[in-house]
Amino acid sequence: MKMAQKIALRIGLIGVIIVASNFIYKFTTYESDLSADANILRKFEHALEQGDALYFSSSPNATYADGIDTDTRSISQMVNDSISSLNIMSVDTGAIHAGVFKKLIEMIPAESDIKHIFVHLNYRSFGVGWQQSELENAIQKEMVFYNNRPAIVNRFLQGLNAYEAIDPKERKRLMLASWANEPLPFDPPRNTVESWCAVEKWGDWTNPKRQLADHYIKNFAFTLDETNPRVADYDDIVTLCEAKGISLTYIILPENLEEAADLVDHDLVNLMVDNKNWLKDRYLSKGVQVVDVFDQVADEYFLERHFPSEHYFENGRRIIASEIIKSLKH
Amino acid sequence: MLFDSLPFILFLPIILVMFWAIPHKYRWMLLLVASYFFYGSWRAEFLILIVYSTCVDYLAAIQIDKAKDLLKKRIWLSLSLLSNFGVLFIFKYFNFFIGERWFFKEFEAAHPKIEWMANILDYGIPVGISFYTFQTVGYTIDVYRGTAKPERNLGKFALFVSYFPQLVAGPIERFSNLHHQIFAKRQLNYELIQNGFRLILYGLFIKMVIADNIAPLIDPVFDNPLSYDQSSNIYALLLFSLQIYADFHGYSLIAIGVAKLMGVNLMDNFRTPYFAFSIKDFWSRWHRSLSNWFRDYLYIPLGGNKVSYFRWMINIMIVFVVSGVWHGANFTFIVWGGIHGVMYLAEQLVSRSTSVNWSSPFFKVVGWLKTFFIINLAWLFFRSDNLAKAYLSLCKMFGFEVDANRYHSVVALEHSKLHDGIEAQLIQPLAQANQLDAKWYFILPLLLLIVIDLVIQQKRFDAVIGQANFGVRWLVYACLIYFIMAMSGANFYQFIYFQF
Repeated sequence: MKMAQKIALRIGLIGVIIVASNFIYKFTTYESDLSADANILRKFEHALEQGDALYFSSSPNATYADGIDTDTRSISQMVNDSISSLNIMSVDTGAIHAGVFKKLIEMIPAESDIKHIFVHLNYRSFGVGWQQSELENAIQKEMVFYNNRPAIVNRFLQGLNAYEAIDPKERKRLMLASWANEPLPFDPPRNTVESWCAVEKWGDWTNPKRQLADHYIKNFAFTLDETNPRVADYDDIVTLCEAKGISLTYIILPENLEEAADLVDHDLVNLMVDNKNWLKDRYLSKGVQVVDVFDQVADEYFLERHFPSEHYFENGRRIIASEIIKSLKH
Repeated sequence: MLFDSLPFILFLPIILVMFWAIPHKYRWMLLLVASYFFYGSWRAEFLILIVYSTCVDYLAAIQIDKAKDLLKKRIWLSLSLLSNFGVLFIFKYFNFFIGERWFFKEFEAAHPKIEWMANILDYGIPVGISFYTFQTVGYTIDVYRGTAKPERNLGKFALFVSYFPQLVAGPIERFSNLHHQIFAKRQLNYELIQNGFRLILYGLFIKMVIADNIAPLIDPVFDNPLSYDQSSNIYALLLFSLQIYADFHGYSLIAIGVAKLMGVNLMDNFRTPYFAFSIKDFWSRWHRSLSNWFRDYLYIPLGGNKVSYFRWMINIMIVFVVSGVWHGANFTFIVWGGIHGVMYLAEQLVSRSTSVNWSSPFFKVVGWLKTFFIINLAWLFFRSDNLAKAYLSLCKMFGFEVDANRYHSVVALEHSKLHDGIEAQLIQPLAQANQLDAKWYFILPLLLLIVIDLVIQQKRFDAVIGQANFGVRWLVYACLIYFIMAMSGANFYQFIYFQF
């Protein structure tokens, strides 16, 4: 009994130390940790206070061509400027995905004024190349901060690597294994990413077109089903918004289909469109408003030329914004 | 399941409560299941290796004990050694020996059926294989020498091999020290809990706060020494010395603390090694369980110091080089061991041939500086990915001009891969080299570590803190808890010694 009392007293003392530590932490290194590892949290909290609609995106929302674009507004800003009934605040930063959006949406309190949520649905983020990217551990790490626990507990959990921390070598192994083994709905050699990449349309690896074609196959050639973690994240977002009584719009971002057809072939484009339609039907059937601009942006409006991405020139962003506005007005 | 991970923080209390709640006779079974679960949490497939090693040594030890003549004993001992070191060789060293060598490539191309073998090797090194292999080999040799009686219960022997607190990173225990402790009947008492948690707390602090924060800071420097300036290369090396100490010592302390919570005393693995006055002194403070193993099972069988002076020098070099190879299949570890061996011999030579009073304060300071310099220099080879990068680091640290031809000849010699960033900078050096950039407040936990180590000296944290009054004790605990919770390294880094 004496031992139990001693232990209980010490557990109490440790509790007091943790409470005091949380207080000290919030006033010392917390902000520095946020800016280094979880920079979207402050943006999210600010958006939550100021806006009545949140616009979740990675870099496509705000990336513009410096010195070329005359209108450098983000997509969300363009929509906000046209819809007076909603104050749309963007919650965006580079390289994040639906897993992060989901964690942030979970944090929206019940008494919040948020009426509408827009979420970019980035086709490329469903591929294994993105899911097992070098940045994924950092994204998983920052997600530890996205919940309503005391700050020091979140920080401690980060220190314990209480997130999906996978050795970068293992991530690479998983990615290569997927490219080598995941079946694609075509006859050989287009039946896996690896063998498809070996089809030498553009000569050897030193040819930049060959390199780009490989990137297109690796990033866009995959099949989709419910087991895809990104699909699970988007499904969860639907459930969360339903539970919180918030209307939801998914914006299927444009991909450069012209370049895909030119660099690879129409098989790739058809596969991409089939996957996109699968996603669109899935979320329409769940009652989500879906803005489909997948094939609406021409090759000339895509910013990057050395890697497939969803960064657009001014006209590209304007096309997307106008489709969102149209859907909102309907 | 790492000690400093959420799964272990949940696993440990469950096992502890069950351990103390169930009758004594079932405890070892619980620990065996827990140990296999713990090890299998990395890769369940690797449990096959530990089961194999257990079965081989279980059988070999019994047969050695039974055998009447020396020849039979030797045959069984040889079988055990071949089997244990064979597995170790395949999983740890085989890739190093075949590397990119043409003969294996040709063989591989001509025999596509060996793909399964390449796949096994791609699995990587099984966690802790060097640790448990040395522990079981030590057991079999002890039985052969007649200093230990074989365990006839396979389950109990399996627990000795796989005892989870020290399974993956030591301390490498002797059968005579560990076995009877695991199975001894004990009562739970406050002392055990108090001392166990003290060690775990301090171990977590130095592992999570010191080691894990240094790793992301210095890794880019060692990846490409040319992209950092002279002072950054020097700081990176000093910080690595601190990192490897904190990483391994922290992990060992947690292991000792966890075992203590179950009433088992594991041996101390570290005694403030950077306060050593000589290389000999360093090895009596650093990874002591490994040093003792090499002394008892390699150095003494080679003849120890009861041989000619020249032979003794050879013995010393063998022990240090093998110690380097134990750490990994890379030329860098051989050089690391070689430096320690040569400097050890040099020290012995100087102390034998002079009549200086080495224990005077002046020579102690000189000795400490010299030892600290050598240890750090040796760590450079230990940390570098290959000898070629170590050469670049040395050039940067000592301000020498980098000779690209020399660099490439070392790369060719050791079959290491070319590094794109280094190649680019050999052609066009950076106009402005990078500098190490750390947040100033990380100096606070570092100072705490230095102060604690200065106070501890050759003792252990639990004993020293136990002598402090309640206020001081809890002030130290509060600092440690704060640093662990608020300033742990948050990036994902494996424990360095796992690769060994």
